[in-house]
Amino acid sequence: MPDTPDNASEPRSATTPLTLGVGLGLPYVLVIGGFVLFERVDGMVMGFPPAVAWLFACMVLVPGCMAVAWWLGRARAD
Amino acid sequence: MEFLSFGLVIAASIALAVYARVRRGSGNARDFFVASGQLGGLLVFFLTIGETYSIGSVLGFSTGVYLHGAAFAGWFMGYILLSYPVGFVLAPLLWQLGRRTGSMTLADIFRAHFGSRLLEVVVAANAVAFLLPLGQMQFTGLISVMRSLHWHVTPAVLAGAGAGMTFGWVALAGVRAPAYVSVLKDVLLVLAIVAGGSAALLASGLPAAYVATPAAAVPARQDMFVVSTIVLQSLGLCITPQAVAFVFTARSARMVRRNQILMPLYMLMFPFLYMIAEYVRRRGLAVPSANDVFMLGITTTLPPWMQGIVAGGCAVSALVILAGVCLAIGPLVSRNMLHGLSDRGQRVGAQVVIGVYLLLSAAGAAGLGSIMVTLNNLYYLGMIQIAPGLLVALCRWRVPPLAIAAGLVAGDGLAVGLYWAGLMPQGVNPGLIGLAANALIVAAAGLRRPACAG
Repeated sequence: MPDTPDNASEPRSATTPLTLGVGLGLPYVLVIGGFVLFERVDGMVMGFPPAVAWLFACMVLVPGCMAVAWWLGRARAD
Repeated sequence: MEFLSFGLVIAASIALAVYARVRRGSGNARDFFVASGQLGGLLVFFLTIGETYSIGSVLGFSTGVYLHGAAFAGWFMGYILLSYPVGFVLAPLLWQLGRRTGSMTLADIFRAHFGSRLLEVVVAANAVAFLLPLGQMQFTGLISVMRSLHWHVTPAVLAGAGAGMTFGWVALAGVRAPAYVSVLKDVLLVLAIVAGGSAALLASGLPAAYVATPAAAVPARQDMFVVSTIVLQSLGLCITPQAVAFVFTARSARMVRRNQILMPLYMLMFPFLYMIAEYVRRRGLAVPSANDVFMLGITTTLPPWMQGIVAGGCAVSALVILAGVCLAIGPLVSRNMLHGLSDRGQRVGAQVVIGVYLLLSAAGAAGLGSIMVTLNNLYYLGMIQIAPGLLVALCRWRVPPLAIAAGLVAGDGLAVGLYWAGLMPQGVNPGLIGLAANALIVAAAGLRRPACAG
């Protein structure tokens, strides 16, 4: 799959198996795995059911994964 | 008071559409449909993320949480959240493919890669057929919001006014109009949701929000349905014709990828939506109809002038999404299905298609048809069937176009057939089963000839 730079003056972020794992695979594991796991947990976290609270946390964790993948891709491209 | 603030929001949106016309480029079809691929990062961000805070998600999420609780929240937030990592990988590749092939629509990609007119028409027809109900959905949401304010306006007048305004935006500035208006719409909705959620939390009292409850027993079949639906829709959301067209408006692939990183942070307003739904449920407020949960929470917690702003934000939100759908359907018909039109012919043809589509959708929402509601459930079932062919084009694999078309039609048939029959083997979403059959056909055809990069 080609991942050519769209603008020669801008550093690109390469797509490699590692960036795919961190930027795509890990979010799926976190969101789906976490939700199925926490769905069976009793109680409340800050007023929300644990599974819902986990998904709220994922709203920060998922961009974190993509940011790391971006950084890994740039490091590779450089 | 709410009428005045609502009017100000609508006036501001019209002013932005006029400004978008001033900013337009050459005025040809490429500029009309994809802004000549020259939009900056901020506009592409707001245009692309529009569906996160569409009227459907604002009203639908609150209603779903009110009626079904955590399981609904999991499915809804899960698929939107995961569509961003999919876009992180897919969107820059789509952008590059679009630039390489000079594509303006999803079907253009298929024509350019496979060199098949038949496949182009099949892809365009599939996309148009499954996009049809989205227009009516927006009008239904708009009518629902306006009803909450108890203004004496009939649904037909509301839908007609909405259709006229959307057509005006699109005719003025093409895709630039929803891009500029999106900024206003998102700022308003975010403010409204945060204000409403905070007011709901204060009104329901903090201790009530901390009552621990045991987790409900979750059958494995329900889990399977939720997980398979999340997988299906997270992928589907990134390959809808309007999402692909929005990617083509961007100035660079790098910008498209960078935007995807920030998008999940934009979902941090969902906790506030959840609080509004919980407030309505715990207070035992009388909900006139299912779609009214969000606006009921707003009208009981916020002052009238803010209610007008919220209603204005919701109305603009519905029309922005509608404009995006119109700008996807228009060229699919005038450019891909009616082949050979001139540049001007494509633009004019698209505007005629858009006009007819808006009229039909408005009429449907005003109560002249009910089949659209059922069709809406099929949206992702059909959209996802484009995925195998798109993957083949992105990877530059060689697969006969007839196999792609056969896979798409078979996938559509199986998914829709299972849905109509009410069959969900092991709880798996019918769309995913159709996709598996589709992918098998494409893979079998691809393996019969050597797969080599072009």
